Amino acid sequence: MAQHNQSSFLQRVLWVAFFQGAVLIIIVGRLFALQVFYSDRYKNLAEENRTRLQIQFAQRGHILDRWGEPVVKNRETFRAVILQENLTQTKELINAVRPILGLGDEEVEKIFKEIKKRPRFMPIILKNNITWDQISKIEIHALDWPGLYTEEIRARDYILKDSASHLIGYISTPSIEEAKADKLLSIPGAKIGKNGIEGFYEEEIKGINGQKSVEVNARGRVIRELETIDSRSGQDFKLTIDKDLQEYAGKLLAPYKSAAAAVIDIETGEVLCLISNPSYDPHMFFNGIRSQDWKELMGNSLAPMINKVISGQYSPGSSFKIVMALAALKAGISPDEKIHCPGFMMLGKHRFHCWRHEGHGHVNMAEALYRSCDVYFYQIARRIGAEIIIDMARKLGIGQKTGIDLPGEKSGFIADPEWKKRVRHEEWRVGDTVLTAIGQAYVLMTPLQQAVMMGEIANGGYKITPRLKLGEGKLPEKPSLGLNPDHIKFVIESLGKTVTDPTGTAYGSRIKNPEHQMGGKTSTAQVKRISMQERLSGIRESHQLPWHLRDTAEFIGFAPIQKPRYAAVVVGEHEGWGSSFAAPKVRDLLAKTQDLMEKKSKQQQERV
Amino acid sequence: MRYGDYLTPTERLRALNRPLIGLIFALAIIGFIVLYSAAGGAFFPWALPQIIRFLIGFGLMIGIASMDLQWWFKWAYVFYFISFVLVVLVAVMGKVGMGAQRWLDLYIFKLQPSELVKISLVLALAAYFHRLNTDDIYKPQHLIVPLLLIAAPAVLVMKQPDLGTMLLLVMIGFSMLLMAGVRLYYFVGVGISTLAAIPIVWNVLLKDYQKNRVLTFLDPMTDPQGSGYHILQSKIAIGSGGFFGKGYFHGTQGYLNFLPEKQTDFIFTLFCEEFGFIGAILLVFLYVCLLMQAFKIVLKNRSKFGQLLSFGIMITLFIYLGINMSMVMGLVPVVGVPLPMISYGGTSMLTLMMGFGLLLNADVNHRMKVSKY
Repeated sequence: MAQHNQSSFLQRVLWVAFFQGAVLIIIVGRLFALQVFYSDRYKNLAEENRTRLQIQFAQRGHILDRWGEPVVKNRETFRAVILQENLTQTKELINAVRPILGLGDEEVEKIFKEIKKRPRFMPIILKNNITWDQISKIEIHALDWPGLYTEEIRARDYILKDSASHLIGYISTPSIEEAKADKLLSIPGAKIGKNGIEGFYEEEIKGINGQKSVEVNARGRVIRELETIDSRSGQDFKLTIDKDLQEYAGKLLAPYKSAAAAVIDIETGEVLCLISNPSYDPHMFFNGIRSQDWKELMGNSLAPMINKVISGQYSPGSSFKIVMALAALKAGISPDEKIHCPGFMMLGKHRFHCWRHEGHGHVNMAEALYRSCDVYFYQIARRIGAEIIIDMARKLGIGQKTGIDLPGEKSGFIADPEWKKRVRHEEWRVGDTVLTAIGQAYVLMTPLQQAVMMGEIANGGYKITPRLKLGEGKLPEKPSLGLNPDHIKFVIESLGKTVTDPTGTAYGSRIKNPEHQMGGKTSTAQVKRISMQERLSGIRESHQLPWHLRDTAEFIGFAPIQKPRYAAVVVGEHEGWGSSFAAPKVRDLLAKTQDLMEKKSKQQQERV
Repeated sequence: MRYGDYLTPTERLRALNRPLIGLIFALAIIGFIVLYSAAGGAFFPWALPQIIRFLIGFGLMIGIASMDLQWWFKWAYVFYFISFVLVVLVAVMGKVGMGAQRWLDLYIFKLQPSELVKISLVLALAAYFHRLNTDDIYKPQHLIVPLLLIAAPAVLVMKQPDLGTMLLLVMIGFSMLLMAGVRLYYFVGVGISTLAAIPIVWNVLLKDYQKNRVLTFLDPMTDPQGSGYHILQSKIAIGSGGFFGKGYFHGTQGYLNFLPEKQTDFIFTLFCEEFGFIGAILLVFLYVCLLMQAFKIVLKNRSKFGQLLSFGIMITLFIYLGINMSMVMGLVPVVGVPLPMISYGGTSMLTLMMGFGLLLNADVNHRMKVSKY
């Protein structure tokens, strides 16, 4: 028995030995798998564990006006921040600092949401833009609460405030989609330029972000810096804008519900001012706009977020008569030929009215322009036909974007017979040509297109590409539009009389200094009949119908008439007559432009 | 040396198993080296206390080895009783450490009686089966006492709650039963009833953190910052060590505190990170040598007591290192089991050294006949 027992013992010892051998082989196999076979994977994971990239956001470039005056500056502000990993009693801390920072219930709730969402080593912002008083109080509390501190951040100061918002844009916290597209933007504190110059020239202005790779421990705390690439500030950005003129234009339009204006240099295409009303405060986007403010902006039927100079599309009205005159001359109509205006024209059963009920009597082409006779151009339109008119309109940029360096530009519109057939399933009628003649039917232009068209005629017939970035050195090319110089001369002279001739529609808007005198074209665009306009411009709401039915007042002008240099446009939505609303404002703008430009270039020369 | 003869203490000392002692020294020194690195290149807070404990433990080991095997047989139950009382004491007045009562503050160091009980369980079971008549082992009524010997401390330890130690006690105890010659179909029966008991254990006995550990083990990637964190970080440390390791002091995972309890249960990861596959294989090789020495001692012992005692020590050592290595590599759930001779910890070092003392004792006295009375 003992013998049997002994051999059984030996057997069992051997089993145990085999079992142990098997276990050890599994362990060694596992070691091999981890340390040899999958080693690279774990090495990467260890490296990811160990290092973390910290982005050092570059300072954005300042934005200056054409003379170097700052328009947008960087400003340093402070904010109160907590770091969860150093905190044990977050609730108590927030209750303690609440009265100092004046946090409302909604804000506190938002902070707690953030706390839940973010990893513990990510700082959480309690409040932005804290005052010096708040900073010092927080600093005192920070002694008791190691996770609480204040942090410096770079904000943006828009010196022109809301009088250049559409032009300059703003910076704000990136949206979720933007953050998805560019991982850097998901880092807290990242800002992105939106709309206007800040958006269009984002790459140039934002600078090059620096980065610091740091070694962190398991809690995310930085142990040491491994490698640093310094950030490079964005370039200072020089605008073509004159700051004083922009401010002046802002004040000029401020009293009106919905208006747009621009002044351009017709030799260079430089935009000297560009303003759209109503506007918004660019500062309110910086820390992410409050939902209430955003709702207000989006719900406003006057569309404060839309830059009406480039995105608002209006019937050009009588301004289109400039296109008509050039088309007529090209078609061989003599400018001296007189046409009788009894105040209307019959076309079949339809009666087309001139804005002047009593009529203009016998008028030649020049008179028809500066006195703005509708009947004259109705008759011309019937004679020369739609095709030549539409060709001229396209040549002068209607239906094409001007190519200005801003996001969101619209192209305007001009209908042709082919379009009407395709979209409306109707034949083009003579009546359509007649209405097109006074810029009413299916013609839409942005205010900037109007100013550019004015400029392209006033500069002798070469194409203008308006721009907001001040070019260094050489002037842009001057591609000819292929217009007859004599025709241009005639039109310019006639438009001069709009202001200088006592019968001209804008005689009341003369500039005092005769050397600065302007010319131009008044326009009072009806909105009643054209339903398409509302659809295409898409920025108006039907519930404002009474105001909405009023005419849109427009004026495009150039100055000085002797040697044109500047073109300007003012559009006042539903403000009535072009001659009484828009013309005086263009006069003020052009007078101010010339004064400012003369004065400042003289100052600049003296300095040099 | 005559067969079955009694050796004087001096004779025993002279006959001590030198390769075994050499291996113990080698492992202890590796432990010091790793603990020195774990502290970022400092003797404090771990390496120096560990050295001191090792030296004390070494004295203890030699002392135990030079004693009479018969004496250990005689006092086996007493030792068991003392260590059991200590476990009870911990349950009654022990200090709360790591959310569980495991420590007994003895002012000099904190005693963890559940460690001590592993050795005394081995002693007690060896003594019981030595005394038992060979044929009685097939009678089930004679299994009641050894099962109680295992169950009493196991239940107490589980209440602490210390699931790892409980499992170790049960595993050590059952291995001893197996070696004593208990019929195999008993084990099959116990195995089946254990499986049947799993739902009850899961729902009634396990605490949430223990359930979490098991669940995390089953799928560690589900929550890398949460419960799976330890296993994942530990695997990253081992894996990133690669073939040759990152080099001494160059382990980033441990140094940057990604490793939990890097100086105790997870010390193998730190070692693997710095010394790579080569180092790990060397360490495993040293353990294998140690186990082989122990096996030799088991096989050459003439007395049942000596056989079972040395087997018990050997199996304890094996279970320790097997579970520890497996758990840090994610092969088994994380239970609190140290890596023998390397992990920082006072009681575990002293217990191990006592165990090695008994092993050496069984070695020198392998020819001795141990009287049953």
